[in-house]
Amino acid sequence: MNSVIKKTIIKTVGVILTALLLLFILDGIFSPKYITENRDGNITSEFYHVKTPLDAVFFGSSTVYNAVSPDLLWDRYGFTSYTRANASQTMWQSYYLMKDTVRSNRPGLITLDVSFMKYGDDFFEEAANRKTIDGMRLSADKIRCAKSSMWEEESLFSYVFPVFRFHSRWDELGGEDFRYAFRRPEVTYDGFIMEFDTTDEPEEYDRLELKTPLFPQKAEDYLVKIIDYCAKEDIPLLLMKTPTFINTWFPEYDDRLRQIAGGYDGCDYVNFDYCADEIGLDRGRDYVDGHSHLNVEGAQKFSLFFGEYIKERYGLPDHRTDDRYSGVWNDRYTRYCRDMEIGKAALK
Amino acid sequence: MSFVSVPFAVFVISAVLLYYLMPVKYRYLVLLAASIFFYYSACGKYIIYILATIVITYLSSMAMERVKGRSAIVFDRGQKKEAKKWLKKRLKIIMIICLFLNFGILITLKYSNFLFSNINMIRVGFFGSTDMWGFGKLVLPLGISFYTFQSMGYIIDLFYRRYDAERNPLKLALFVTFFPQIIQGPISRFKDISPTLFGGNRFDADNFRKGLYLILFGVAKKLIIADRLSGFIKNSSALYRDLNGTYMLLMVFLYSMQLYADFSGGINITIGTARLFGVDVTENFVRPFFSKSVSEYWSRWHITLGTWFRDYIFYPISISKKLMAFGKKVSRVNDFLGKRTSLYTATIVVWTATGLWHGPEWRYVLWGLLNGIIMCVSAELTPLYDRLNNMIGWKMGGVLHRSFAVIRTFVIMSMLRVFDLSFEGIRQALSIYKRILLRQGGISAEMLESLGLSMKDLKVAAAGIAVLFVISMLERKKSIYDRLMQRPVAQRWIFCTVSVAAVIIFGYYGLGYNSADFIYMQF
Repeated sequence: MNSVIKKTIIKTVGVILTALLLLFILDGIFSPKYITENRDGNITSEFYHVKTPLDAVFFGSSTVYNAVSPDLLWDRYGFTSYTRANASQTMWQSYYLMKDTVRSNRPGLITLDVSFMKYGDDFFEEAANRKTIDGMRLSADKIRCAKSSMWEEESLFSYVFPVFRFHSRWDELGGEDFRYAFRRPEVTYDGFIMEFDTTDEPEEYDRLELKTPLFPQKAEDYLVKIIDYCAKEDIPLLLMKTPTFINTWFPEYDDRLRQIAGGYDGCDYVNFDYCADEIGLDRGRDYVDGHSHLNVEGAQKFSLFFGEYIKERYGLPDHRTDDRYSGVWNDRYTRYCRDMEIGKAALK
Repeated sequence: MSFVSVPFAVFVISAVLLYYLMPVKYRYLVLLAASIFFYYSACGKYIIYILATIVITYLSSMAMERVKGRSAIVFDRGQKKEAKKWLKKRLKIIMIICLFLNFGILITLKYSNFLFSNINMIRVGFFGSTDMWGFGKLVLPLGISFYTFQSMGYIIDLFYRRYDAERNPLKLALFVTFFPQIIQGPISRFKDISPTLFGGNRFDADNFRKGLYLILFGVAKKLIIADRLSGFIKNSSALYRDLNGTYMLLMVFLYSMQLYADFSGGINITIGTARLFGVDVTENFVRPFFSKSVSEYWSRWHITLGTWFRDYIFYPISISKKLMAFGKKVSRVNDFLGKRTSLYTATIVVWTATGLWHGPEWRYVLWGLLNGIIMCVSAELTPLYDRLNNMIGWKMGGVLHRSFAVIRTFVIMSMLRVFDLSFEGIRQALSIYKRILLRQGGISAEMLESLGLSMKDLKVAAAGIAVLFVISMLERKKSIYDRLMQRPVAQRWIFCTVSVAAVIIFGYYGLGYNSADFIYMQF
């Protein structure tokens, strides 16, 4: 090869590598760390830390990450799981996160909370999009997920290199941003976020109008894609509604979802709102955020009920006597219990 | 496709790869295809106008070549004078037809509604007409003023027989549409750009590196300074009635900086992008804010437009036999005026045209005229300045004298830019001047923030302007690029990496920011 061409190629590769290294460093420093606040921003990325195969993965929105504790499920039922749900996670985001999940860790069961079936293309929360998507490893699914979630003012490039979105944080950078630039401590409990506060009274949300069609086309299209995908991968799918006491859900939604799920083998739908008494949820003690989410007390109750429901129905295995699992998961459960106690003590 | 965008970067990288993969002979075709693609993606069906200009210019140039050939056949060697006269007459006819058609497109699209609105005003005022004449809203194709002037410069040069016409229509099409300079110039001359544009350049690492540095510098100017100031300037100009003179003064000076950072940044990107293909594009700025007079400023700012007007309007008018004869007649009545007739007439015509070039509005005409008048008055007052200077005791050409001249020129040019900012017309400009002179007041950080200029923005913009100033100072002796090339490789890499990081961090872009288009795109 001509020496000039060789030199040019070496220089070009050098420039590209330097540019990538620079972007990697800037991404690390400028991306929000979500360590002390907004810890849910780490749910997506902490999934990649899981060291054992998973038996179940739970998708959906914030109602799920406040309601289902994988560590508690491990301790009581012995199956492994992860809550891959984020604040305001739309159906299309759940779809791409599901594909991202199955690529590296194929579970025996997938559950999907359908609270966000009500929202279509007109729904946009940039902060929530960022928390959900930025933590995904770079892949075609991440790009598709970003493309389907972005506003037209946004740049797809900024989802590949988040510094192009967060560069203006230069005057807010603190010690945490440098300390955790390339390695963050785990702040969620396998996707579960503890809420220690309690709201006594439910908040009156603006009641959504019942529209025809019931769900936006985009949400329904992606629900069908999710069902088809799970069928193709031969993974049972449970569509569910996590219990909340807010007036933004209609019985007609249940009918429609039951109808959709009924059309497919291996797909079920259950609305746990109707099981609140059976679960033992107490309106005065177990809810937070105007009763739109469960607090830790409610989550304990719901996790136990939900765990038993899926274990029986889907025959999830018990690994508690298997050293390959117990070494990892017992530690995680210990950490969960310790932090739960610390949190409760701090509240007192 | 904005110059400062990921799609443009991908487009340029693809074009560069294709260019150097193509056999040398056909490389200009890659540039032509890229230019047509770029223009079509920006303008869609309005590409028809630039195609029309190409066809008209090409046919005219070929007609000129044909006439030149015929003159050799029709006349014998002994009939040189007759042949010259015959040829000039025919070339002139072709040139006028071509100018008429190409400027016709420009005038129709850009100036017809301005003409009609003035005619309508007269018809309503004097004749009470109620029906309005006009073409309705016309879409102005991208870069029409730039490519029309560039094409017409080529035709006028052919008329003066400065070089031979390009016989390959594809090469001529490339000359007119070359994508890096289509948005905001510079207005290149055929003889300057054609050797490297059509030459099929081999890869030159130094040229390529310099191109990348220029692009980086341009993007930094645009994103760190120009776009950051854009919101404040737009808002202050729109809310001028509610703001005191101090805000107006700040707006005026910051607009000068914004316009310079925006336009010269865009030109840096243009020249840098062209260099990636080995094409040499003429420089359009030479540190204009270091000018000591208005005329010097215009020889350093938008140089290619200035030289176009100088070569194709100023010189022909100032040396025209009719005007010189008229000057002699005036001399008989008043020697002072007679000697200046040609020069000042040409100056005023050129500056009125320059004003109109910037936009079909009276504020631009007045802005142009004021520039011309200031230049004429400055020329007359030079002896007085010199006397004043001697009285004060400043050394001619000394630091104090030069600094004063530079600041004075900056203030005058910034003040003239008020017309640029007065979107409501001349009345708004007068109101802004009035506020600056008579309604000074306090300035608050909260108000600045509500106008789109937070303290954070102000700090970054001020730092950016300071860096620009230092670079301009350093470049008086040697370009930054040449200085950098003398440093060891490691230092160059560090400089580049830090510069790229600075643009990424301090650039004004992304969600929540309204990155602005290049200001000169509208012209």
